[in-house]
Amino acid sequence: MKPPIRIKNLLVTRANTTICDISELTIEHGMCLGVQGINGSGKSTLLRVLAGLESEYSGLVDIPELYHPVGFVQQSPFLFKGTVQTNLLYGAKARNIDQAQDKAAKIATLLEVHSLLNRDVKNLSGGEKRRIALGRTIILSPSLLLLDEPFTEMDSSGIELVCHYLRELQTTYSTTLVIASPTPLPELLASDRIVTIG
Amino acid sequence: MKMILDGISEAFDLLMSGDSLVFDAAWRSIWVSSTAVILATVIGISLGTFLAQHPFPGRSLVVTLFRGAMGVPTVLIGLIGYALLARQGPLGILELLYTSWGIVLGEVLLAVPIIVSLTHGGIKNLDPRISETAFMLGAGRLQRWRTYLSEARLPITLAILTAFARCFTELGIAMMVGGNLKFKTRTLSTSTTLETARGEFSRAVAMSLILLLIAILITLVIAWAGREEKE
Repeated sequence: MKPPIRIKNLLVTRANTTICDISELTIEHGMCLGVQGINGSGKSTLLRVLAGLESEYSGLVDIPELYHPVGFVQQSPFLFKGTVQTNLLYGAKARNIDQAQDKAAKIATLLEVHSLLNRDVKNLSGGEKRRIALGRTIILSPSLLLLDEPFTEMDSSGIELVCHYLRELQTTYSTTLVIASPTPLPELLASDRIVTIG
Repeated sequence: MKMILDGISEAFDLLMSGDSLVFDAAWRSIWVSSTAVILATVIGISLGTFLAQHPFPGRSLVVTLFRGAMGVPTVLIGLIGYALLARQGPLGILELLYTSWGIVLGEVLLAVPIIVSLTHGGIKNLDPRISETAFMLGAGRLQRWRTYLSEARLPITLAILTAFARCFTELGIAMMVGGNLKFKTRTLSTSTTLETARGEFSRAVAMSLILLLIAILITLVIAWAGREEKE
């Protein structure tokens, strides 16, 4: 059995205010975990801790090596200046991924953004931006994929497309998914477990 | 008024006839300023990015000193340059006093604080998600650095153009370090001062017109760069 991700007594505070407080959480390998909670409950902070973007916290956060690389798509993802293609290939270039162009083209087709490859990111809708941000993270084949409110600004067809793709990642590549959302996750993406924080 | 109009008319004649004094000074001004700004850009962008991205004790003080140095009069920089390059000075061995390279060195001192401060401000004001996204996507130090420069290209372009405008029009350094030697270290601004003092008003106007033309050109480029960014 593969070791899980373990979180114990996680406490993140800023200016004497607790912004994330989780006594115990275990994330099994290959599972899809839904993290629910109202705004300000600490969902995004939990994901940031798991992504390694928060260093000031107390408690135990144990992420075994098999969960690396970790992919994180932020609540409001930032796209770099340039085209969709530049963004899709950004991380692939950084990590010297083989056949990055082919992979980018394949992912773009799956996420139905292939026709946008040469478009400037300034001219994209919110939903398209989210799909590009997801695509450029997935191209790196993350073992642990953290998604912060990924379905915001997406229309129903976009949600269906992304859910289908995330399921495929989970079943084919055993990618562990942690998805934060203030509302229940779409039925298409039946999570293996839901935790409510805050 | 008549004197000014006559001066402008004669200035055009001098420009059209390719007056050697005017064009030598213009060419030297462009060469000296461009070389100084290229050198200052390499130093200034590196330092500005470092200051914006790497916290260390005393960083605020260093940034404040660079900001303060933006307002130092060129005469004072010229004086410092003179002291450095004079025969008894620490760089006297280089024999750069009263040479174009001496003016370049002085103008580097003028341009570096401008580029450091404006680059630091531009990168510091970037969206914090940029560094987090680059980090999460596995970008190494060099790629992250290139990303910052790409995202902050407008403030950096403005920094370079501002530095060029300042170097191109400055008088104190060229006069004190260059010495205003005919066909050797004379620039547009030093020549304008000299020709005016000598009563050669039309030649002074011709040189001022070139200075004005370059200043307008830089303003247009800055405006164009700003519009491109907005679009």
